[in-house]
Amino acid sequence: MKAWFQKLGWIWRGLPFLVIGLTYIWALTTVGLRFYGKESQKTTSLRIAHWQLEAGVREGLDEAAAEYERLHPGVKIHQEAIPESGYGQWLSVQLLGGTAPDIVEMGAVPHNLLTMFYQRYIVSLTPYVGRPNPYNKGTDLENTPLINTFLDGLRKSFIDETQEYMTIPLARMGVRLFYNKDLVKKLTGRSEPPHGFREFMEVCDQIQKAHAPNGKSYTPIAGSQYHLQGWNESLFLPATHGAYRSFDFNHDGRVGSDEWAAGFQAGKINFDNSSYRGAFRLLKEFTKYFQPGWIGLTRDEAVFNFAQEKAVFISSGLWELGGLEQLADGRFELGVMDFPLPAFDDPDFGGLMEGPRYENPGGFVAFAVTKTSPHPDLAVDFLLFLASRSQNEKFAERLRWLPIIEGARSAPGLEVFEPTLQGVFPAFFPALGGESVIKWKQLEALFLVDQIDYDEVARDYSGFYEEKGTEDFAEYIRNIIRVQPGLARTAASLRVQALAGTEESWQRYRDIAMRPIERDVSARYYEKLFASPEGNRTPPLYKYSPAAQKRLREKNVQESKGL
Amino acid sequence: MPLTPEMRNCICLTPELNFKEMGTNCWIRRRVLILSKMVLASFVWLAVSVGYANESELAQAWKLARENEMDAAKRQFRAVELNSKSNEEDRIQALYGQAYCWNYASKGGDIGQAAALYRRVIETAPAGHPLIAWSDFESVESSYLGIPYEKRDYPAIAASFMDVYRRHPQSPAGEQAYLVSLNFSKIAATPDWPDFIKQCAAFIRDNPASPWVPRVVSLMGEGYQKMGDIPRQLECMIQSLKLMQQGGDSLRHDYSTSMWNIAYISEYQLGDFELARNYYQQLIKNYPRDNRVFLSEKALRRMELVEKSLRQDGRFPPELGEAVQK
Repeated sequence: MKAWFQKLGWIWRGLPFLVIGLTYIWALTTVGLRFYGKESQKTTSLRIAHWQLEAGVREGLDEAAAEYERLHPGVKIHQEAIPESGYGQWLSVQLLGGTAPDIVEMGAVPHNLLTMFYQRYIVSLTPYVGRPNPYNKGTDLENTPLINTFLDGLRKSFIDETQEYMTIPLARMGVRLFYNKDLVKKLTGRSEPPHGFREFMEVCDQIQKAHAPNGKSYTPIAGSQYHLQGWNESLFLPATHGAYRSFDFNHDGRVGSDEWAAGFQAGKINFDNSSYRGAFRLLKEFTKYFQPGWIGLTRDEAVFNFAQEKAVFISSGLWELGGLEQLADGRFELGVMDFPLPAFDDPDFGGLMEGPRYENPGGFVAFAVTKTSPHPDLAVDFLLFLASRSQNEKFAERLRWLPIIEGARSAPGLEVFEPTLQGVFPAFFPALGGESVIKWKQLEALFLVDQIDYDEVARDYSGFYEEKGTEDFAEYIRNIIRVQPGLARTAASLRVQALAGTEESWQRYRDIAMRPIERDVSARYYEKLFASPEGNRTPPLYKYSPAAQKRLREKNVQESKGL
Repeated sequence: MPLTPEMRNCICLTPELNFKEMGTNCWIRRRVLILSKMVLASFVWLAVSVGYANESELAQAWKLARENEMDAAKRQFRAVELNSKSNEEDRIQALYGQAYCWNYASKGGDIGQAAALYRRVIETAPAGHPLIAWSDFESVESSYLGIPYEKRDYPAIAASFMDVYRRHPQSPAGEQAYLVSLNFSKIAATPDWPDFIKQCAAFIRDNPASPWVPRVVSLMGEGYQKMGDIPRQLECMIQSLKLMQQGGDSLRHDYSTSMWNIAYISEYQLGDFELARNYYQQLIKNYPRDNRVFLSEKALRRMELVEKSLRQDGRFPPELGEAVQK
């Protein structure tokens, strides 16, 4: 044997070098062919890159590409699917190196970097949003401007820093409750999912009392820190909605952490608010059915519990539907239902939920055209093709995602994921930044694992806020002001373009021209509010003023008397 | 290289060089002629393209500046400035560009350098040049942004922007300076609201075609609100919204917040349900995906309930509870 090895010694020793050499030649050839190889003199290549490795995405895009190529002989579309974990780095390198594909999915990098990418490397799509999509010809969208064909109104595509529409999204998503139909049937005898909060609680009780053949009990809800987010956004936060009337100081029907902080400091809002008390109690009603120690578990561990049929319900997004279906395949039937909100007349939580929850219908899987593309018009044209009603419908149906184009039908079974556009929004923002974020996370975790009760949360947080809240608020104000030079630069950049441009470019400039100055206005407004809301002469919020009452009485009483 | 017979023929050792006498196939003559034509063509090309070249260099410099490559942009602007002594417009643009780079660079900026360059634009540009007013505006803006937030004296800052307007009335930069001045006046420690309203009215009177009029009308409404004149505040809000809609104030055309605010004030502060209904309905119709649609529909039902209760019992419905100020 030894002699045999000695005979082949030089080959054996040289083998690694040979492998490395061949791999190198293969890599060179592949890259060379991609960049320099011409399929034919008459072929135009378009490259599209994304991180959607979910089953069906690549095939869906390939199908669309094939159809586009049939419509446009001489065009060849190449797809590059990059794993999400490395996409951000990959995209940065490609854009900075000037080798980015014609079309790229935007995201997977920090916000500031993304902004820089939009400013430097991405083609504005603003000229297209006001025109009809030519690929909707022959439909009722034929004359509809592109922007109005999107169910999300291209809300997320408008980039503030450039004041331009920069991306075309292809899908919508939603978060719902997935469940094991077989287990529900086996443990509760139900063939239908529970309807509403009360039924859901009963089902969870039944599941918790049941035992597996090995004697172990079942977990009604698979939970983890990751999955708590779904419960928070879909159930807990909407339940806090009623509090907004106490601190919407500018009564614009929208609230955020700034108004909350000012309201909390000024005593306009606190943990005694019945909406908060109710929402916390409600959240606890659900988390008590999570598996023990859930707060220390990761997303994958919770999914594993669900896949192993140890847990019956799990919150997740539409993007995981395919993955969960694969896990369930051949083992159990997967069901999907909406989060069970308490009814308005619920004996314990009556009046807490003022309505269903509002879900932001922003678009996902957003593509943009790079400035380095040798064929930017063609690249935009391909995106318009993907955003046509028929293509979007096919694409969404294949991937089992929600289509984003008006009138495009969802795949059967996805109706439950349709976002609720009429409902209530959250009104609880305890994490203003700095130390309050950490403090809040600590208190929330302790509350959820029954280490402290609601009153202790309230006491501890209020005490902390008295001491540290002012500092956090001061930091918040500093942050408002800190971005002024950047805003002034953005405004100046658009101003320079406007000086050499059209009325439209002046409009674009005017939209953000006052932003640097508005920062002072906001900061001073919140400072005054923080120091003394009464001193700011804010009339009582969401209450009929004496003048309004007088007018209404006079008018309606007179009318009732037939005067 | 050995000389060919043809070359030898062309070599003239006497000062009375006469090409004509040398014959048409003279090697040196042909090359000198070609060379001279080339030099001539180069001069013509240079003369013709100098304007274009500068323009293209300017465009390149602005591209660099927009991409925040301020050092490279500054060098490019400086090169344009040096090469454009005969082209006044290029020189002004290049000076302004350099000021812009010093002013807005996120790293390595220098407000002092910027101010000096802005001054050169103001002093040397032909009267009426738009960059004079913008240089003045940006110079004042950079001084204000250079003051630490805690030390900002808003009445003084407002006055400095008002001076920009006075120096450049009815110019885009001047008009914007007026709006900025009004914004700083309203956040002064003790704003003079009657005077603030007068200033708003003066701007509208003197600049009726300015694209900033809708915003000034809106500010006027804020002034009336501070003075407790809610009907006039509402009037201003409605007028401002109308003007914005007519003038296409925003590319995004999102006026949902203006509609909500008008509806809110009409309902809660004035008790004008007819007007409130109108604006809640406009919001529902124009922005069906807005997160206030649900609240608007609730408001429509609430107002109906209030009217019904007042007509039947002469009092507000008890279920509204705290929604009625005592």
